[in-house]
Amino acid sequence: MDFTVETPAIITFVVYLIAMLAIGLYFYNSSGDLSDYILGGRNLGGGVAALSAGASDMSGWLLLGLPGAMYASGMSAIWIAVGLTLGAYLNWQFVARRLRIYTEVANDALTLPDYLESRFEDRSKALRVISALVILLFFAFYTSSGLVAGAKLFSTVFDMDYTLALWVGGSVIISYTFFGGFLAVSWTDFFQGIMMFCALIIVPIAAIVIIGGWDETTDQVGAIDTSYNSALSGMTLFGIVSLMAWGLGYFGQPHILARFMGIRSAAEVPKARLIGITWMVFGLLGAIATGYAGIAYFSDNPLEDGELVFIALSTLLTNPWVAGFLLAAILAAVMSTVDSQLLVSSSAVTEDFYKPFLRPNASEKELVWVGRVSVIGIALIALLIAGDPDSRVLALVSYAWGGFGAAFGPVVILSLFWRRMTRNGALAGIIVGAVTVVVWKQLEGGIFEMYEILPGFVLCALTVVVVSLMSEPPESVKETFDRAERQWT
Amino acid sequence: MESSLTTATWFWLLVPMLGCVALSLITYFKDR
Repeated sequence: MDFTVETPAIITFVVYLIAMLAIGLYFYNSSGDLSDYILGGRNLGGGVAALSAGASDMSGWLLLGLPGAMYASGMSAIWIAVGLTLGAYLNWQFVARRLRIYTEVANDALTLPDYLESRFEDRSKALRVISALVILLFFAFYTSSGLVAGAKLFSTVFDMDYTLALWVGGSVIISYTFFGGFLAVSWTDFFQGIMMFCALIIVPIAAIVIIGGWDETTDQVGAIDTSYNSALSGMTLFGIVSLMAWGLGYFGQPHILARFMGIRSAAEVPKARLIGITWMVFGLLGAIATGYAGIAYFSDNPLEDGELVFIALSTLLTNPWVAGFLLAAILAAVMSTVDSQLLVSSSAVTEDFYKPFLRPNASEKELVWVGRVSVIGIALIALLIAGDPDSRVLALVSYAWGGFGAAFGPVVILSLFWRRMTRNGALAGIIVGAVTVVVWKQLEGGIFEMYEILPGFVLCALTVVVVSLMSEPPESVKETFDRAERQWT
Repeated sequence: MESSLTTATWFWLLVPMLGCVALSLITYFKDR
């Protein structure tokens, strides 16, 4: 299918990019110390924390991958979305508030590795180094896969050179993250989250109205193949569990957990949870409806690439100004994920390597600049990996999501709920979780077809428990836990 | 031919998703 992009769409697009840069510059002077730069001085309001957590989480998958899967297989593609919703809700319900409180009680920790080190009073720095290495390794691929997806899309839609698209998008993200740090990333994510939400409401409603209403849409889809109307058709329990297991990933995603740590106070969490979950549920339902309506809309002239169903409907249904906004929303989805990942990687370099190992006495101003330079360095590495549009980096998203979920998920949850957990338990759990994901991915057939996050998560949790029970945590570690617990209850 | 989403599909799509929104709403008012 040929997409004609008119001048108004390009103007809307450029306005969007300039607005993002302006937000970055606006927050340039807000970063006095490293805590400001990598965690916004823990001053996010509930609404911004909620939408920035959602927008950081949901990448181009929400507007391309999920509608594409719906378009290809109908309602049997809903299971990942259902699993993700449950995972995100449980994360907000059980992890957000406790993590916000504990990271402050535990030596005012700014990063996940920092928190783990303080939580277990690990003087060997092993926990900090291993977890920071896991973060840098998985994010290198995760971030560059986001860049590849964004650049591929725009080289197709705007008939633009791939490398040019990659570097234009990359420069805008680098610029606002470089200047404005966490506040710029969170506020751009906030606006990008609103754009994504509006786009996912407008497109499916417009499509369903044009088709002739909801009943007509389900009739037309059912006439093509009745199995499109059933979530259970062709599915096994094994398959459903494996898809829903994506939801387990939430507990270990450093870029999402950073939003919990940056929220203004634990009292803001209920409001943030309500806004975040509502945003996510209606966004997912919109994405599901988009792909589903696409089955009916394009029944006579099927799309070659189902992942372009959102774009095809945007450009066909609406006037060029609105189409420009809808296309910008896809870029917003990509950028809001990449920027958060860049910043977390930069904080790992600054807070977990530079400060503890190279310059323990560095001034705050120096650390902020190291953070900024790290953003550029990491972005360049991600851009270089993304340089080849045919590389298989896109396939690594599920790998990175699973890696974080299995390595950190059980460790984060147990560290917040189990007083008796030890440093060795955490360290062994992270290693077992990460290794299980890597090994499981290489094996094929039978049980190994299951998404690797599930065995990784279970083995990590078991390892934490067994290894922790082999020794006793120091009294001071238990006392800190008790101090945090008094604030939880 | 007339067809629509199966009951199981409506159930598995809406109960977990809207259930999470409802629980967030309840805990929001409870925790305030």
